[in-house]
Amino acid sequence: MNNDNNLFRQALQRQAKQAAEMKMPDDMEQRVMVRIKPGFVLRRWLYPLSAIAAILVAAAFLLIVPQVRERREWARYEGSYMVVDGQRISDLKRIRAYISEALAMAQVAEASVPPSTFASETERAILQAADGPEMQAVVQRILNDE
Amino acid sequence: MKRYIFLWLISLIAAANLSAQRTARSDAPRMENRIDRFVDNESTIGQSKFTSVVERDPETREVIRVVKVRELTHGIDINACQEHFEAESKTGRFSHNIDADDRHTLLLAVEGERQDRIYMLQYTGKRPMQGHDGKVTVVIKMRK
Repeated sequence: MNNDNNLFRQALQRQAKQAAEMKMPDDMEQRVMVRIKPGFVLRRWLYPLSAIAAILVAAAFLLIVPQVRERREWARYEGSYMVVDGQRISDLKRIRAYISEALAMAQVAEASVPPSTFASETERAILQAADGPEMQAVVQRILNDE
Repeated sequence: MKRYIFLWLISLIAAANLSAQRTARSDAPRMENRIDRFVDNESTIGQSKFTSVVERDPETREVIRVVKVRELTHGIDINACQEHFEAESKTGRFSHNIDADDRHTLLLAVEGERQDRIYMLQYTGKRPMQGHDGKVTVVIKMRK
């Protein structure tokens, strides 16, 4: 009996020693937090970094898209130029205001001409289809009367 | 041998035809008139400013309209331009309007085979020689 108690006591002492060697803390939460802490520090820095990156991408998008759209709009006036006191300027950015001015003058000129001045494509097709100069004169008279 | 002679004859006829077409095209009357030559000419007396705008179709890149504007600051240039307008007045529909502020507007519309042209001269002043703020605009609209 004494021998059994001694054996049991020795087994308990051995277990306690092993437990002490493993350095298992009493507070399991504390142990878990020690493990989580380094990872948490990394993620905290990620949030401001990703916010800055998102702002930069949005700003770049807002700046570039209108410029691309503007360039495409003015590409239709490629070939336009100005001559001022003998100097030729073909940079569209520099002469945009003058291009707008010229187009406004063209609009005034076109508005001042009566619509019946120029024959439409349909009228031209009819005139071309007319056989001979006499027939064309008759067709022209009919078109003018309309 | 016969085949070679035949091919040679065909190419000769084709070359003659092409040459005839080219001659016909060069003999065709050009659309440009005295006003166009005046506007394109850079030698004016006063300060010169000339703008040429080419407007294209955004999809096909074909030219749909050409607008030329020349500013005339000297009465002599305005007078010369008005004389060209009057000389060309018979070639199209011509009009000369004067408003209450002595602003003159001369308009000439000329219809062509491939393009229609509108010429407009505007200046302020009782007489062309004493005129100022002159501007001559040429609008060339391409037909499809």
